[in-house]
Amino acid sequence: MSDDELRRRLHEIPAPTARLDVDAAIAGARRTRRPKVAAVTAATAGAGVLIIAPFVAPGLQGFQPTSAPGVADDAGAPAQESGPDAGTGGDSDGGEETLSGPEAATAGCLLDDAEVATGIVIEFADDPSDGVATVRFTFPPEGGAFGIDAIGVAEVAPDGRVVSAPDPRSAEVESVLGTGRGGTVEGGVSGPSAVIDVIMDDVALLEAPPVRCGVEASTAAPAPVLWLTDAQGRAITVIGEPWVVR
Amino acid sequence: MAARWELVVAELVAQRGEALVRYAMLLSGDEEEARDMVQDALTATFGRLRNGFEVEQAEAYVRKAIANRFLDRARRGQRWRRIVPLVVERELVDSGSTLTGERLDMAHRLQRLTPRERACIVLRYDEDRTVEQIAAELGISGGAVKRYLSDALGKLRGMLDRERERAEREAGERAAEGDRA
Repeated sequence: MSDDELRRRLHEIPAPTARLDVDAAIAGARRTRRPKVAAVTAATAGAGVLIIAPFVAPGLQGFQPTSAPGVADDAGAPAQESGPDAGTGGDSDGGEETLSGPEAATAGCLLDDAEVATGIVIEFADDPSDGVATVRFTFPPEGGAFGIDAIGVAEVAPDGRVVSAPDPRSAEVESVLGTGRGGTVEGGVSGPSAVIDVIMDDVALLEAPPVRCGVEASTAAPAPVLWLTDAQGRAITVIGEPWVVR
Repeated sequence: MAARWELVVAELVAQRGEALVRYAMLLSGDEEEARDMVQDALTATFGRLRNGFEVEQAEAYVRKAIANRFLDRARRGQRWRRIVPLVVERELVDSGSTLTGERLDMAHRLQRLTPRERACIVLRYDEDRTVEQIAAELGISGGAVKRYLSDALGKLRGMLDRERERAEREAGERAAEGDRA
């Protein structure tokens, strides 16, 4: 089969009627746009105020800002409900710590949203539960670039709050910081050579002991946590989108 | 008043809706599934894109989202397929029954390629993309694209050869039966 013949045969396959529901697409997009806008607005209004996981998984409930502009010493502390084992430094399953308030911040429960912090959407493209995952970086048209130290996993509640996160004080995390061992990713749109997505296949996820963040949730989805170095050489830790089976 | 991005959604669907569904159908092999993929891709894309983009840019993102959904589903299916002793060929190719004869055969042949091979073939020969553009679109290297294209073309040629041989054999058998009658 020649190239031309293959091209002809493919082109002969007709287009089905579109029958797309524009209103449904707009309504669905509105639901997912709203939390991001709220997050960006809050971040702009309160300089230095951390925003906790300002994203919402598709189909889940809306974003609720978890920090108020101007509250500095407890900045971004999640509106956590104290569960039976909530507290400061209390042991729970398997020796994990359950933390809230400033301790949670120290322990890495307060993570910047990847899209808000970098403009890049970061998500798992397959189930990370086996310790290996495909990770997708979707770049905005204006592009971006950063180096990756490591990628780990956090658990996120349906309302976007972090249930557990890798302990940043653990030896596993400390050993990768600043190493850039995860490589670099870069993308952006400039004409037909646009690099919208960068996909990293079979990434071995960092296994670090988790800390529990004092959030009670009956269900939680895994979300990627990335230790990055941006173009200005700053080290940042961000959390991506929760992984949900589509 | 509708937001600017909402107007872009409407314009994109009106102008390019059929092309997007066709693209998704060539990948998935099923019209209804293709519509679902496009619908999901529209929602996901416009749920993320900020303001200040036009239909052309938005279409690139929607196409990318369609390809992602298709390949993600294929990845998730890999584990399941590993434990299935027999690969079952899809029974349904054209729920809308717009495909007949050679067009249906060609759609069937596409479905027998691996997901990435299929995506590369569709992008290269139906969308007329360069190898570099396909690599960027699928997030793989140019070398990998060339390998997928080569493997896919080899498989398609093999399918055509076998179909031709089968047709010739069946024609011979029919002729022999006619002689006997």
